[in-house]
Amino acid sequence: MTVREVYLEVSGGNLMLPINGTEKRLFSRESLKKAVGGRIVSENNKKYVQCLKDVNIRLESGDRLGLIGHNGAGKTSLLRALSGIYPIGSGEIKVSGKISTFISQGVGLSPDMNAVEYLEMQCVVQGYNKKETADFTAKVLDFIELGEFAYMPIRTYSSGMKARLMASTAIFFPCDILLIDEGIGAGDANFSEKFDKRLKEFFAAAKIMVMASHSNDLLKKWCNKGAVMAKGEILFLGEIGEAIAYYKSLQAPFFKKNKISVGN
Amino acid sequence: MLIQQEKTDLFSLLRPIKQPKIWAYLAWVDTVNQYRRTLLGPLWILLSLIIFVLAVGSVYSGLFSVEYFDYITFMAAGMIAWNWSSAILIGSGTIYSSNAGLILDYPVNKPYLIWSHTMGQMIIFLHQLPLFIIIYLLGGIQVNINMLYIIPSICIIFAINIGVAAALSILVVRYRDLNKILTSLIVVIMIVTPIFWKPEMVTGMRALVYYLNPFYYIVEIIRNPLLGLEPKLFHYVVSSIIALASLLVGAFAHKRYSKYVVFWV
Repeated sequence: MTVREVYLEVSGGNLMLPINGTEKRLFSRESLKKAVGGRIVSENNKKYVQCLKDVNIRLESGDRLGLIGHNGAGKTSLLRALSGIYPIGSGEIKVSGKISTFISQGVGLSPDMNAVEYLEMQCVVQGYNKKETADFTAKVLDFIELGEFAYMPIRTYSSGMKARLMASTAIFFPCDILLIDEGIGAGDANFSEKFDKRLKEFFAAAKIMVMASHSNDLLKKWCNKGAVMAKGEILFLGEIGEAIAYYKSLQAPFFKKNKISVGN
Repeated sequence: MLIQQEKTDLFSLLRPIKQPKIWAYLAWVDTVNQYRRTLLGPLWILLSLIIFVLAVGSVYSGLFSVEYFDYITFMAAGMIAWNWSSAILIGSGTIYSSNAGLILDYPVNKPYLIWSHTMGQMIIFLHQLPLFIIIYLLGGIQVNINMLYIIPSICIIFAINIGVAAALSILVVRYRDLNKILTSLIVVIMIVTPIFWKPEMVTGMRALVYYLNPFYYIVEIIRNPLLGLEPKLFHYVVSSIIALASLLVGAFAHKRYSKYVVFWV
């Protein structure tokens, strides 16, 4: 098998999210100047949120990028664009490698299924065959230690047990490129240690990782690069420590003046 | 695969045919989930059909002064066909809105959702067939070779469902009024489609009511084999044309608009 080069590249990425059903509502000048969220722009009587504006990133094997920014700065939108969920309006995204996306956990969870059925369904969705499914299910069940509850309906689980199941399922599927919103976490102190260990292996196995988070500790722990975003633009791209420092330096004037001053 | 970024072209809609395991499984899980914690489970669909046919049949057989058993078997076959054909119009709209979470969080290969939905409709259809097995066992209808025509009929309706669902699921998610319109329209279509009445009861220009009605052909290709009647080539030709046309429209709609669905759900 030939080893493929893994990379993720965005050049001139723009994304305008149409807002439907608000045509008749007026946006006051004040609301347009709000600190959070993307810019709201009008075109041909239609309103759009400018989620991404001229984004240029190239990530290669070994890159772990942390996305930093206030709510609505465009972090999740960028993750969605990278994963192919949002079609970007202009610009180009080039991907080589298998992408896994964790924007929220537990989609497809039906309260009346049990853990085993849930795992089997995830495997079918991933295109696993019978043997791979059996191996995967056994491995995850062993890891999450649900005991007899593995055969009980999920509605009987505590929220911690649900988190164990969903987060653990996610980190047992191998991938080249990992896109994560707000980190992955699960369970009580005891399990958390075991989970962190597995998470480390999982992250190490992924060649490229992009993580959006508000926690500087989490970003410092897992990332080596950082991108500071505001209103859909990347203001700073560099080493993670520098990026966090840059973001902190922005914060004070940002909220006072309601506008961003970028260096110059 | 269900979770996979894919370039959409005209054939995207048909590609899941190569991996039936995934959509068949998803449809099966969906169906099983619907019946969890119910005592009778899948029997409910059959039971409600039987109750409907027995009750409504006794009124209408009186109104039309026709033989009761003949009439209720005719109506039962028509209802089974109608239940699937009406679901094509009503159910398709919710495919994307009911999977909004999945669509917003994963690069979903959307044709799989359409195929699994269609498969689900087919499973519901198959649920109702035991009624006819009972009728055959009771000797109400002689079992004959014509009944095998149900197989091509199911394939044709499956294709229609895929095409219509691909187009309607996008339209409804963009224009939310559409589902309301369809819901009110479906009752009218049901009345003008020969389900409660036999086509030969309506003559002259009035016959256009069913000749111009695509549902007539869909109902006929299911009803005739169930009743063991000889198939009519004309019905199969028209319904195959409907299938091709809807697949074409669905494939175009999917190619052109499916990437915007994520903005509309």
